[in-house]
Amino acid sequence: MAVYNKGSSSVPVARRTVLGFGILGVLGVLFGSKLSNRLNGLFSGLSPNNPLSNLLPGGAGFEIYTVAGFPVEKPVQYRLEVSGLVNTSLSLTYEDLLKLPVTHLTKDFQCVTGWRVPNVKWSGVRLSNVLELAGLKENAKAVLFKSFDGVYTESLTLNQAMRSDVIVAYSMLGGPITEEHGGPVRLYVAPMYGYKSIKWLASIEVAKAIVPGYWENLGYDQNAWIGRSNGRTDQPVD
Amino acid sequence: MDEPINRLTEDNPDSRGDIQRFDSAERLIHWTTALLMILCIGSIVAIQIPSAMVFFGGRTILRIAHILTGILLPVPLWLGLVLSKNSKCLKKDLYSLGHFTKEDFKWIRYWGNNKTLKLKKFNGGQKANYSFISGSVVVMIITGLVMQSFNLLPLNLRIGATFTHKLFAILIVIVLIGHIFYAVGNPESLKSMITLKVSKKWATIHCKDWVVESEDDDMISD
Repeated sequence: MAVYNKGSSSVPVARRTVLGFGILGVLGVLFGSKLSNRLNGLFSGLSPNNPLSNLLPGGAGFEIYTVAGFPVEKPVQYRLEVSGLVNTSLSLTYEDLLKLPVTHLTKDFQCVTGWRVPNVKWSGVRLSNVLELAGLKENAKAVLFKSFDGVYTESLTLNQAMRSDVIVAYSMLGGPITEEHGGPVRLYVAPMYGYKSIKWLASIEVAKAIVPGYWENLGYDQNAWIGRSNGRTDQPVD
Repeated sequence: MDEPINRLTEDNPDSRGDIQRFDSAERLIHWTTALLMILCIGSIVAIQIPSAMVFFGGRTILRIAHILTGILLPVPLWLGLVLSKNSKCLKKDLYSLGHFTKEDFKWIRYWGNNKTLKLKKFNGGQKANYSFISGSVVVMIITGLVMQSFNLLPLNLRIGATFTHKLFAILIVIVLIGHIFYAVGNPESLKSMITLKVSKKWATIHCKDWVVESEDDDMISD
């Protein structure tokens, strides 16, 4: 029978519980990523639009990340500026993008923090088509991107930018791109981790050299190939 | 010991009146912790729902609210222990909540459905609830802090922390739903977290051995 000793000066909190759970927490931090990778896609049957899929570990939902809030721009006002080492600077409207040859992709979205959304439907214009429309100058070697949130930036080498699975997307998940997914227009760089697929795309600048973007400055790899960078071994998306 | 148990029954006139179950310090700690818990869970749920996120002022505000209320969760209990040195109830209750006896494991095994169980103030289920929630808050704070350490720690540790944080979040919600379910199912017990008292009749049914034991204790007031 547990008897409370009235004269005892000890603090009556269950030290063993706190200590035990503390150790559990540290073990989770150390080894959780392995479990996380193994469980990934366990609930992939859930639609990415289902809010539940965000809450479950291993649920196949998008986690909405933004570094500077949610900038709002209506398709009517939208302009995509293309400038730098090009023959003609462009200012494309949403309508202009819709008129360009459309590319449909159904590919996974892999985040560098471990979550992956399988078989996302994307539609848009190949980045290479947009660049060819502007006409590249000889010394063009890299492509720099800016978001209209005013903070987020990204860049690709010209070779990476010309790939057929890199698109300026205006549709995902079977509809127009919503505000939280980076609408009306974002980039989708299929073979690279999600941080390359810049949301709220505002401008494309062709340059001589790459400029490390927002996350590269915080230590992420510039060449963000899925499964071959950032110390990760995810299944590549190709 | 056997004699008083026989004496106290539902119909016995001695079983009338109220007895004190909690003191006001415990009540304050319970409801401030509950409020923090609601804000902590509410803010992170709102972040998942875009329309709710915009309604409550955006991701940044909700994120700060989540982190702040999460870190503050253990504070009411800790403050209560520091400030209310005279609250014998709090220390005594915490002591018994944190210490499992064979009887408690037996209670959990039968989930209370066994006539031979001793009915103390807190049963095995209540003790398990307390231990799990207080321990989980430690897990959530450790993993939560790792999740925030963008440049300091390797990515793999942050992924592990995120995973553990989510896993325990689900377990906490399940246990809390259980806690609320049993509270609503026992209105007298729920009411005592407001009025601090239970009827002697209720206590005799649910915590007979506690009533007997504390007959001459100063926690009881008729």
